[in-house]
Amino acid sequence: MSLKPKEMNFSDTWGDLQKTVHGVITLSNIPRYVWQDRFADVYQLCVAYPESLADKLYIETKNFLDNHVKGLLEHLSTLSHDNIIYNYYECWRRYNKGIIYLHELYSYLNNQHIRKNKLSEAELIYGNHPIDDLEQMEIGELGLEIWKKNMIEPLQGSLVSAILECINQDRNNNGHLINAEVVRGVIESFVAVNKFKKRNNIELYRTLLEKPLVAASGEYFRSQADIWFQNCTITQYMERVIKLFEEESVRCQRFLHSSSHAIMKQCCEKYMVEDYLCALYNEAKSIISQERQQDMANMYILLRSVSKNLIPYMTEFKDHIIEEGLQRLNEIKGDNMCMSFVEIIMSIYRKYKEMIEKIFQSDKNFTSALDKACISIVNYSPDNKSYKSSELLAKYCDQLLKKSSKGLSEMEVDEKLTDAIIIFKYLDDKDMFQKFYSRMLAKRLIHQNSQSMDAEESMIDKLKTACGYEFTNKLHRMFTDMKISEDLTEKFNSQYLPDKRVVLSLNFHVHILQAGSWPLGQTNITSFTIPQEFTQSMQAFEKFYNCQYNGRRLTWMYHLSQGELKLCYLNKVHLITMQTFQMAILLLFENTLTMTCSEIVNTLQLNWDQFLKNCVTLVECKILLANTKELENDTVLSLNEKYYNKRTRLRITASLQKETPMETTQTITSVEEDRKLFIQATIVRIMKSRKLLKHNALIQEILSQCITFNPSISMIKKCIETLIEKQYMERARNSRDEYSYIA
Amino acid sequence: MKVKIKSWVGVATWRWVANDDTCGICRLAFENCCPDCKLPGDDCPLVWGQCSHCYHMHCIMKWLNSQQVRQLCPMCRQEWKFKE
Amino acid sequence: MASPSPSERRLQKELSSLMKDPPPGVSVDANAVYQHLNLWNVHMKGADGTLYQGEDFQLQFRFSSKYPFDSPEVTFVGDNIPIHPHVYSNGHICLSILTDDWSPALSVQSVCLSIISMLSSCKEKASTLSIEKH
Repeated sequence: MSLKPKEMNFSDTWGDLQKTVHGVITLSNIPRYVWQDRFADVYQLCVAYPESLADKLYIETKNFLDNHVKGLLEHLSTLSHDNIIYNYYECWRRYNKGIIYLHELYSYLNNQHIRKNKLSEAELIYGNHPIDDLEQMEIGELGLEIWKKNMIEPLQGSLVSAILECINQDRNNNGHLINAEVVRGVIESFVAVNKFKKRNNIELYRTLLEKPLVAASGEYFRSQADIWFQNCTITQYMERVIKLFEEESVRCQRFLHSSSHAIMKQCCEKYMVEDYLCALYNEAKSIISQERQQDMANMYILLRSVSKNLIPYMTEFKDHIIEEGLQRLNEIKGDNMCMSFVEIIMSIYRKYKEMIEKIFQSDKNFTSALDKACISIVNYSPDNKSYKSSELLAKYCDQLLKKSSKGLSEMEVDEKLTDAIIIFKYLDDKDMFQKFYSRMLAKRLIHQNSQSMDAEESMIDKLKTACGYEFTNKLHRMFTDMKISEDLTEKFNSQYLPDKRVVLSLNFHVHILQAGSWPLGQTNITSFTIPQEFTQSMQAFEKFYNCQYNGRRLTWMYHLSQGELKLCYLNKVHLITMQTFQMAILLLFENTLTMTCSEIVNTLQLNWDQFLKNCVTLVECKILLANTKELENDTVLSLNEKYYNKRTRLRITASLQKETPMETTQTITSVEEDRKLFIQATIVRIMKSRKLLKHNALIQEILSQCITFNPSISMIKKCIETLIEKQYMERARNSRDEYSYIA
Repeated sequence: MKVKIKSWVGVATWRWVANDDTCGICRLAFENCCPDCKLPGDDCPLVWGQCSHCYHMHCIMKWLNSQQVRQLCPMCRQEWKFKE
Repeated sequence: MASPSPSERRLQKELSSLMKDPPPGVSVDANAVYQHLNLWNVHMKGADGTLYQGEDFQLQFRFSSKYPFDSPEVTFVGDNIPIHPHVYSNGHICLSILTDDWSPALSVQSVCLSIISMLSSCKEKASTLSIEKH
């Protein structure tokens, strides 16, 4: 075949070509050589000499296809109307396939003639060219365009109503439509005829099918919802709606273009959920309060796609958790309040966390509702004044870290401490907890009451992670002192004493604490004349210590010291660990059988409160006998010669080492003092940089900077007043609610 | 003997002993640390000169380092020598 | 208050001790000082029984951030500059503790006392020092 342009006889060539075109479009068998010849003919016509016959070829082809499709339409109208979509679909399937082949046959015309004269995509999208009907289309597009005009347009009414009918049948038959493939094919043809279009190519599908379908479906959903709602319980209603959602979703997949899925879903939700929101919310309370899990899950499914619809539901959920939490906390009784406190909160936390995973598909919104609920529960305080939660949580940690007979494994202790951290994160008064914790830690360390140093340090690491190093810094200092003290004791006993050839009358240990690093409090400091039995060791140690360190003075904290006293006057020897004051009291009986309280107090120079506390314990555990019920000045005390305990070694210090209510008050006061100072410093810092600030803006800034506690507004106001008095700031002259920094 | 002390765990706190309560340089209490430190105690020790005047170690070092010619005790202007 | 620097902390201490226990005839405007801790105006009365009895002076202290390791700049300011052999007419004071003999153990209070005693020991009001010579 020569590619050289030559003169062509159009009507002869077209005559042959036309037959082949007909064959192609009707999917007849075309021999290969015929195909190749006609392919060449298209080429030759396009490049014909002296002028191209391409336009002529285009017009003839267009006319041919036009007539062909008209013929098909006529043929269809002779067939039964009942089968219209089936017949249409058959025609379309063949025609669509034929057109694809025809497009191939006209490749040269498409590529060299038509495409070159076409507007570029950019021109179409950004330019302002009117879509020109007369513009030539590639043959594939032309064929589809003609189909659209000559077939779809005349038939659209019947086709669409037939499709809607089919979809309706599908709904009524639980998705068992016989001719699903046909329906899908017809719907696809609405999209396919525009497949060459660069934009708006689903427009036809939209207006022709989607709109009426959504309208009809909406009507269907509305009436279904109405019927179900009238006749069903809420449980059934939700189940049916969810089932319908699922079915409709499958139906969309089966029949519709993907762009319609979301629209159909919205349509479902509008008529079956949005229109019934009030009714659903009304039921939410009882569903949640009865914890009907399946209903809860179903309601979540119904509400979740519009996040604002979830809000009242989440609030209901949150309120339910709070209600349960507070109710259970109110029922706490007994000695072990701190354990119950943590256990209750953790059981609620775990229960609802699991529920969120299971029922609410780990929805973050619900997790934050749980967090909010936990914050309310943990920080609930009926009188807004006591810092019970901080104290209980610290006590809980104390109990776990203390030596005890509970027999928890290290793992169990660690898990329980991890629970404490979960609650700690919800705690508003973190500073208060910190203070309680550090005081209890100090006592554990000083009284050698810690179960394990590893556990202590692991808890401090956890706190550090949760709240930063500032707090744990001081705690670490306490550990360092303990370590140093151990070394000092060792050095004193195994080097210093042998070197000096001193033998002590007792086994001597020390804890040397750096004043200021330990939250010891001042309440228990008392005068005290230490019995001479102790002084030898103390003086020897002080000498040793002064050799070790320059310029330091030791102050003995007798109320924190304890020792083991051997009772030799009984049938059986007892070794009893007790407080120093108690040892001192018992030592007085060495040379006498009886003593009055006031004699003891005078000899030891002990204040009455301290004496009373220590002595009461000795009386209560029956080491001493008293001749009055209450200890008075002239109560006569004597050694109980018949004292017996089945254990040889025991300690009677526990009650004395407990946190007293007075210490608790002291702790609270000192934290409140710290808070005031912190707020004042914060205000000054803010005002220094802002110079002029509205009251509310100042309050907001302060609140945002208080991380370890939630200051009350009244406390902030008091701090502002203080600073105005101190003339750090003043009320702005022109504005009532504004402050200015004095500079 | 009726009773006998087997063992005793004495608890004591320590503070610095100095002639003054406050450091002559920073005017802060010896019980607390110098203004550059956060925690008092071993981390911010006190030192004594042979003249027996006492300062936060960090404070006196700052002063001595700022003196090129002669190093004098800020209080008594005697030559500063650390007490052994 | 808002985490003050070491020199600010010391100045605050000095301010409160000066207010609690000022040397005779000395007073300081605490409110002004609170705001500009590095610039103090100190009022000083001429001591009774001296040549300066009945006179009021104003001293200005200017502190660098290295205070107390650096000495403060101290000058007489205002209308009444004392006529004294060691005080220039521009208010400059010639006092060794303000320069070579400065020690961080000195304070506003001790400087004030030194200046009072310098004025008090003067037997004849005369300015023997000239600015040129300085």
